[in-house]
Amino acid sequence: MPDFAKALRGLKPPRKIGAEAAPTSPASYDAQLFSLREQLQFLKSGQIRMACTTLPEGEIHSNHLGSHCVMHSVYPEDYFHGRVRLSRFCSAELSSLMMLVRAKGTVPPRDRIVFLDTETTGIQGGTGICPFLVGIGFFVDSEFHMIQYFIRDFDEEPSMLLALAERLNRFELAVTYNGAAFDIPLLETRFTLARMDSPFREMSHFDLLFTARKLWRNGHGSCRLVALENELISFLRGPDIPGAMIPRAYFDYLQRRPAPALQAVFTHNCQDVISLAALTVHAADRVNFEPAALDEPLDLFSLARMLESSADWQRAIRLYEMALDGGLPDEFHTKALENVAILYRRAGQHERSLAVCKQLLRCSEFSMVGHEGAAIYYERVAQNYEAAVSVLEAGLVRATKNRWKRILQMRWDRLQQKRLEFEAIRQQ
Amino acid sequence: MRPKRRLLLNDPVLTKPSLLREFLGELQKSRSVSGYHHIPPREPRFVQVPAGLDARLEQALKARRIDKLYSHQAEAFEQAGNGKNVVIVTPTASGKSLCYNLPVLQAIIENSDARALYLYPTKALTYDQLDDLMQWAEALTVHSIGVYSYDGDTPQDARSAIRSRGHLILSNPDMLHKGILPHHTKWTKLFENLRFIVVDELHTYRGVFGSHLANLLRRVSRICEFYGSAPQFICTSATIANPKELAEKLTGQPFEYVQQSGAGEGEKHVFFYNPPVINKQLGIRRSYVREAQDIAAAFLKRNISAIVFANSRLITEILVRYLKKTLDPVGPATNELVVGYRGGYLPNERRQIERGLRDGRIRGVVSTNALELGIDIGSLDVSVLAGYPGTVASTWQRMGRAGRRSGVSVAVLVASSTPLDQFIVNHPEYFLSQPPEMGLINPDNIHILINHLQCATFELPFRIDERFGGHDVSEILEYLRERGFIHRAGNKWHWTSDSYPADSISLRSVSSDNFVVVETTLEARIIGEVDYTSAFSTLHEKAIYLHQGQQYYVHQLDIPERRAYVKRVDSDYFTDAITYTKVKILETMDTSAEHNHGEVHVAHQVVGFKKLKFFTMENTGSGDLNLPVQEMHTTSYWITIPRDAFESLPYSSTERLNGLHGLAYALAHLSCVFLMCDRRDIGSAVDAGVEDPTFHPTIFIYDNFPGGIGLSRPLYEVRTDVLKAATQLIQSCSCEDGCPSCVGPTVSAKEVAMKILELLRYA
Repeated sequence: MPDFAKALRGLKPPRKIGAEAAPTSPASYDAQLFSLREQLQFLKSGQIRMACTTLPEGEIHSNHLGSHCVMHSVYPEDYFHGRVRLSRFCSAELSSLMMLVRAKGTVPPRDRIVFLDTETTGIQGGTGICPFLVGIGFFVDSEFHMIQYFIRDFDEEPSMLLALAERLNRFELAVTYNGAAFDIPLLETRFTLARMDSPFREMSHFDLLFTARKLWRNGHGSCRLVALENELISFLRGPDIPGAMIPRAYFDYLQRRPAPALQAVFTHNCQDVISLAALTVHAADRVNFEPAALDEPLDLFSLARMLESSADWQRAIRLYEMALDGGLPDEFHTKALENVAILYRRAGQHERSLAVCKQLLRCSEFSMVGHEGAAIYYERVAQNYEAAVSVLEAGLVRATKNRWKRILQMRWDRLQQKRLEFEAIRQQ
Repeated sequence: MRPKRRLLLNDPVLTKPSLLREFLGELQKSRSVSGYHHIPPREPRFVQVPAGLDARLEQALKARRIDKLYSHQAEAFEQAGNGKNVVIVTPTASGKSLCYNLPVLQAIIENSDARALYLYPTKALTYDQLDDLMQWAEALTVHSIGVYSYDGDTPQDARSAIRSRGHLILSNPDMLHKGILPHHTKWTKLFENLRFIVVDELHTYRGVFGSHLANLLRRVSRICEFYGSAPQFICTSATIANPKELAEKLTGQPFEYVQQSGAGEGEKHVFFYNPPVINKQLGIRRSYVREAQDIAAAFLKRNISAIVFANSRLITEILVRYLKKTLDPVGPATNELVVGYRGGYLPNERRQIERGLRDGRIRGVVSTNALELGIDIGSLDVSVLAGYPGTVASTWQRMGRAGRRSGVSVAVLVASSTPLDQFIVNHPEYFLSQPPEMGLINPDNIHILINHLQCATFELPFRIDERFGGHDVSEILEYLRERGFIHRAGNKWHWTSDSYPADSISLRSVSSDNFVVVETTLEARIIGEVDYTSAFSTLHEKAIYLHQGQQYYVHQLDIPERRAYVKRVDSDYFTDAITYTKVKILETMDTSAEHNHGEVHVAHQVVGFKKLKFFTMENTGSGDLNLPVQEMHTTSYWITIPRDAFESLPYSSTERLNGLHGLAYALAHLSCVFLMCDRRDIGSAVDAGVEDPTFHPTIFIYDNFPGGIGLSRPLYEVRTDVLKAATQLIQSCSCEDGCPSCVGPTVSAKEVAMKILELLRYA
């Protein structure tokens, strides 16, 4: 048997130079994700006792696997999260949203839908990452219930998972934010490690993040939940803990060190779940109701693209035109015009399509769709080969990519051929 | 007798077409050939296909025109069928993949849930075996058998299907370490049903890499236990002295040893070739690269196919260029006749070369060790080794790449001027008589163990009474707790760090601390990585750093940030670091007269550098450096030379010190021969006892890894062989006063070194 004690004594305490060999320290890790200012702001805010009106007292629950902590709170029918009245959430509207983005799964009645978010000991995945706080939200009649499962140490996890699984078995659809990549596989791993069946096997799952990206990335850039809840539904969080600091807060708590930040983690988790529900309502509104002309034009543009790909052409055209009226940045302006030109053509409204193509030809930037579209119109609808050829020739001069030149050239060659044949027939 | 020409191969007689045998006769007469060995052909030993073999497997064998098995294949099948772990040691091209494929496929035919994990040391080997296994899977129409490779190149979207559907997963230790074990819950199908783990090319797992693999397999066994499986191991290896011991140490399980190869072998002629001395004073020989090139060219010109092995990427490229140039006038297509093959070529390019070699389109190939392992390249006639590969096992592997199936083949070992090469080429009987190399590992190296315990706890909480590799590791766990990595809850230790431990641990080194080399000539870009220990000697400020044959000048070494900033230059010199090493004995564990083995503290410092001109090696300047001391605690073998006797040697104190250094130089090189390790795995230092008059002058040969990887104790045990070999080497060296081939180019070193050996009663 090797003498490990002696070998360990031989290991020097890590020197300054050697210290970086240890796994990344939390400070440097945070720095990659959050600005110093953001972290400082948070640390300072710890001094002011946070008003955690949404965090109720916890209870200890026990089952045959041990015990864990449960926090339960209820939001009444008239609760507004930002400017969204939470109880407006409705299955049918979620259903049409999911259909639009072609999400898998059917939408059950409202009381069979659960919103879920986890707080974990790390963010990079793998079996060594433990969810120490799981928050779920669901509707009972018109009230929104929030339950948080918390483990006071790792040995409470099996009991917590059992209670969570029993609770989740009542639901048919889980809604998450980035759950497809993170929360769901993480929980499935934990169920496997605890030798339990995962409740998610029997459930559908809708990850709002993908839809949020389609709807809002163009207009808002960041699709972080905190950014969207602020910009879209005007919900303002108080001092919030940056996600990357959450594991450290829990480790401090485990080591029985003062962990003032832990309180913020509960609030953070609670607000994440409720914001998720509220944003789901807001996203469903976008597709179920007519947007206002005053909406952010880029959001209108994004929505139009989604409708276009689900073949709702008339509505897509209308939204593109609303977006164009509202004013779009150059690249999106051209793209919107191009899409409208194509949609009109598909819908058989050739004159309108031509009008848009002409607009495109006037753009300072070269538009392949504009030249092609106009040429198609002249050739097939107006049968004016001269005009078609001249549009193509203008395009050949302006095209900046060889691929475009090739395509235009082919069309030009074919047209010339056709024109000759046409002449020949006419002369006969 | 032929005139004593520098190189017989330039003889005009030989440029005419001649038969291989005729040509060999000529080669044998060369003065530069220091040894010749003839291996007669051996008849294969066949046995009937075992009765227990599934009829469908037998059918598939027939389709491959195999109706009998080699004896070792049948034996491996029987042993594995009896539930034993099997290690098979057989030469190249002896059909060793059947040794593991038959039992594995049989198990999968019998139970469609059964799974197997194949580990290959390199990705290239994986792909080579993948094709073959896919054909097997197709031929067996029982149920669909999923054969997949799983490594860094596997597309993300294919991974989930592989995890659930793959019966045979072909991977490598690095992927197992970083990609599979930390995500074992995604691999439940595999771990619940894991019947076999196949470890191919076992002999590559020695030293640090092997010590890591042993710990990796300890982690695998924890995971398997969790899922309720207990896989059997099948390992294959090239010839080494201790395959059974190595397999048992790597896996922690008992093994059956199948060593009688039933495969036939063609006739082989082995030549040991020492380039002629061109400067007797300095002991300088003609360049072995040139010689190897001439020999290969002589064969290729006769349309005799040849593989040339070089020991570095750079020399590979040089040889390809030389050979292409030499062969250019022969025919128009010559440029495709000789190609290079090494790591760093794209996979497709490699596949193309392998195909070209198999179908004979490519007649010559120059390779690094990349082609040494079992990649199928068909049969070549000649193998030329430019420089001794460092181990007997590698040498046989490389020589085995010629003449895989039958007929006559030739192997030529061209020695470089290092002591190791010179010893081998001058003592072919040593090389031929024994496979003395051992695969040495130390799975209990504290640094490596700590790394893997972190990974293990990450993968699955560690029970407080749980053992790791049979050891009680509670003290190490306590150490990890103090540092905040793990936390105890109930009766288990849990991972409490938001890092992913496998990411920062490389299986190919003890410490994962690396320096990044940043080129700042134009836009800053990273061109390479250098491990911590060698960074100070190769990346110190003002050093010339060589990368891909290009020179870079190091203008800044940022130690805290682990970065070296370099600029592309075109200099006519390179730099050689001057190092100072001080070894302190901490504890003597064994002593026998002047010989000792124990624990030491090594302080190593780069104190300066020399500028040496390319080609002439002329010293054109030097500089001082002030770099931190690198310290480590390791194990060592050391020789103490009685002070009185040493001081009574009739030489000046400088000469005596030179002799001491010279002997250490020779011993360090020869230790590698006996320990089957790389020269860099071993460090050497001397202490003449100038500071302390009670101290006897000492030569230290130490294990050059923090904590040691198990080289010192075996060295202590084989010391007599090493010292005898050193005596022979120095005696038989043709130089006058010491040269790089024996004691290094130092004044009087040779003479004094011999006197010291006399004192030690070896001369």
